[in-house]
Amino acid sequence: MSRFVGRFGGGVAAGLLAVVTIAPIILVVIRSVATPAGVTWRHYQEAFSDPANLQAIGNTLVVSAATVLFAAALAIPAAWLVARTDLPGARRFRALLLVPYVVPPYLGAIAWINLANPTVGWLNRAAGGTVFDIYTTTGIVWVLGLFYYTFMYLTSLSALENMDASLEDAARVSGAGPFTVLRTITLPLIRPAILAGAFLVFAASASAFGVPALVGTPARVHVLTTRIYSHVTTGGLDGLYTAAALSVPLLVIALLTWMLADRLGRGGRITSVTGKASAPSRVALGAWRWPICAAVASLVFLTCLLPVFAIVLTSLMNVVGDFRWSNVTIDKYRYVLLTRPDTARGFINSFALAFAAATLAVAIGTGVAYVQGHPHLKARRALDLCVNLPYAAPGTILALGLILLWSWPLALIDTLWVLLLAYVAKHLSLAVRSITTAVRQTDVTLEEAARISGAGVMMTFRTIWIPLLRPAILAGFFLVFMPAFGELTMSILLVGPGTETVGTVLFALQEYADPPSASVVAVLILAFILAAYAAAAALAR
Amino acid sequence: MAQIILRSLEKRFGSFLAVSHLDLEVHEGELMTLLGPSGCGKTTTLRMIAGLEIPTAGRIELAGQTLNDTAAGIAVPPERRGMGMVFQSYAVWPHMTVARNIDYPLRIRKVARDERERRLARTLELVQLAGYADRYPHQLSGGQQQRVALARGLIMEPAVLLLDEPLSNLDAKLRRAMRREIRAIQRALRMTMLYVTHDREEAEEISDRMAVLVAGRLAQVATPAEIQSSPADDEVRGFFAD
Repeated sequence: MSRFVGRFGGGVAAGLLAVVTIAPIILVVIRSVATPAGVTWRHYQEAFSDPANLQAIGNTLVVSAATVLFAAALAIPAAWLVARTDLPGARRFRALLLVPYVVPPYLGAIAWINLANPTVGWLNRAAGGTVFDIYTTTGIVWVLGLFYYTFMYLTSLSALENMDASLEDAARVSGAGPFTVLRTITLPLIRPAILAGAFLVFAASASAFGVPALVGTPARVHVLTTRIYSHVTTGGLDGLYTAAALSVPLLVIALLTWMLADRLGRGGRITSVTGKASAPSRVALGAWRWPICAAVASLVFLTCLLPVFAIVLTSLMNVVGDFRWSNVTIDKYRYVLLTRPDTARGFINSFALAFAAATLAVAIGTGVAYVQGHPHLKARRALDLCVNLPYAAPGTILALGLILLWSWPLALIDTLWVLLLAYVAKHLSLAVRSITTAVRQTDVTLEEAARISGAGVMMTFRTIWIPLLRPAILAGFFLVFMPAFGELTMSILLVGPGTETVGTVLFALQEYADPPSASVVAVLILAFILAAYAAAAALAR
Repeated sequence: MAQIILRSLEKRFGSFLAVSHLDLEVHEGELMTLLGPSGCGKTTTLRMIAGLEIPTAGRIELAGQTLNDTAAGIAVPPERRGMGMVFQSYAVWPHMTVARNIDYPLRIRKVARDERERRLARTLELVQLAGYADRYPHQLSGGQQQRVALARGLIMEPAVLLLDEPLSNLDAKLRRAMRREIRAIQRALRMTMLYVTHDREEAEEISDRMAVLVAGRLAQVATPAEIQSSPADDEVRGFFAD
């Protein structure tokens, strides 16, 4: 391969990647001021003169901040308990507390609506009156927090587990008790990781669509994503441009918090993360051991067992919220699976799209990771932007950008292609990270030895890199496949007749006030996701 | 006739001058060591000869053929230099068996199967790994992995074998045994070898001639005996003083 062909090919590939990944987002910003009709601030005026939109900005900030606080209250103690104490069953809890990380949060919204609907919720039925009301701002924060605490839990946990235990031991030797060590050594050392997690939770909460749409809309609590959604779906062409103007503040919020999280996550200050000198000593909880164990178990109950119980139970009901054996039926399964054609179509579409998106993402990701692993190759910063911008930007904005980009002259809108583009752009970062990590951990002399042995660049790639990276490529495939399969935020804006996905089928059923049928779909999605994880775990072994 | 010729070779990394104005000739069939303290530029020089680093100035020739000429914009890629190389980290591929690791250069060149098997068997014999062909690297000791790396470098019977601190990860006893073995193989095959080391004793025992580098500059080229009796300057004398 001559140098010219290499450069030219690389340039074309990078250009295509940029069109798929960053062009939609840039187009949203452009269209907020420059429409085909001319340059105008009219759409900003329209967007920000509507009190509902101003209220939505406030709600977004309040909901996100409250979710961060709630998540921190769950995540930091949980991480410390499983990593640093003699909590009974610490290893099992460590994994169970991560379950919400792999489940789409809108399933939690369905579950908690079933549980805490003010009139027919199972909890209120059990209490004999309206004790809980999910249709509130608190309800949104509750559901988001029970899912997004996992971000902070993960960052804190990895900081705790990678910390050099001798730093804590030195404090013990100096005369500090276990809780003084926690306060003066452990927490200050993992503070950057906690903050990084907090910013991730903030960005995710501000970008969330499914939960505020399902929980907030009946309560007339609107956030930026749901307002953008209604401008796009009900506003015609002008609505698209107003939505673009409304997207800009959300984009700023999401990117700013994401960048802060990213910077902290790189952890220039965490100098103690240098391989383990010794195993960390665990704090003895003493008499508190079992009460604390019960508290952690009840968190697992709230995040896993109770929601699953609620959707399974609801899916078996003929009439919502009335538990009598005569009300138990599998009619809804029959209705959803056999009578409605869109359910099967949704599952087939989601499976095919997720499979194609994951395949494309690992193919592109391997190329990107290869370039990232070779410091002398140029354009690494531009590649970083291509990979991370669509990941950090809210899905609602990416979808709006795809609508603006692919309506004319090439009309991909309402086709499966635009969904595929959306899924690849959004999740590419997950594949790239998995594979880049593996490339960085691979000794470059393995490649050099092949070159010396007579293998060219492509031959080295095929015979050395691909086999060495196979586990990371497989992991990257699943990291993209799973969220793409359950995707809702972008799909809801991009689906057309015949291109339904599982997420949009479920959303439609819930919107048509048919919670038992929606719960049937939720049970099916959950079952599929758990089966896919079991398959991934078996493959990885 | 000189096998490898380096002319005014220079390598800069940013503002750091790693190798400065290096002129060196390696004769056919000799074992020359590049000796010097760490950071003196010896590994960088070896990697430029291998084609893994591109010099910022100067020329490299192999048997009359130009491999690098910065003035003419010539830079032959490593895979077309027909050299062998043994890495300090061994660089044994973890996903291939011993046999696949060693006969990789033959497979790349699409050497016929019976010829390949014949040469593989002979090379395994040469490095005393007969019987290990189907093992994977993680089933081998450090010394055995080192032999795999050496065998991979030898199997093409290249005009030049480059060795980058090949023995520095072995224990002292094994190191002495291996360097005698490398020397014996070099004599038997009359192969040109360029051997990078920071170990003076190793260099003195193994070399026909030694090239002493100090701070990116070539200080002296001579036989071990000559260098001992008449070091070129104080830096060389300092390096050889105990």
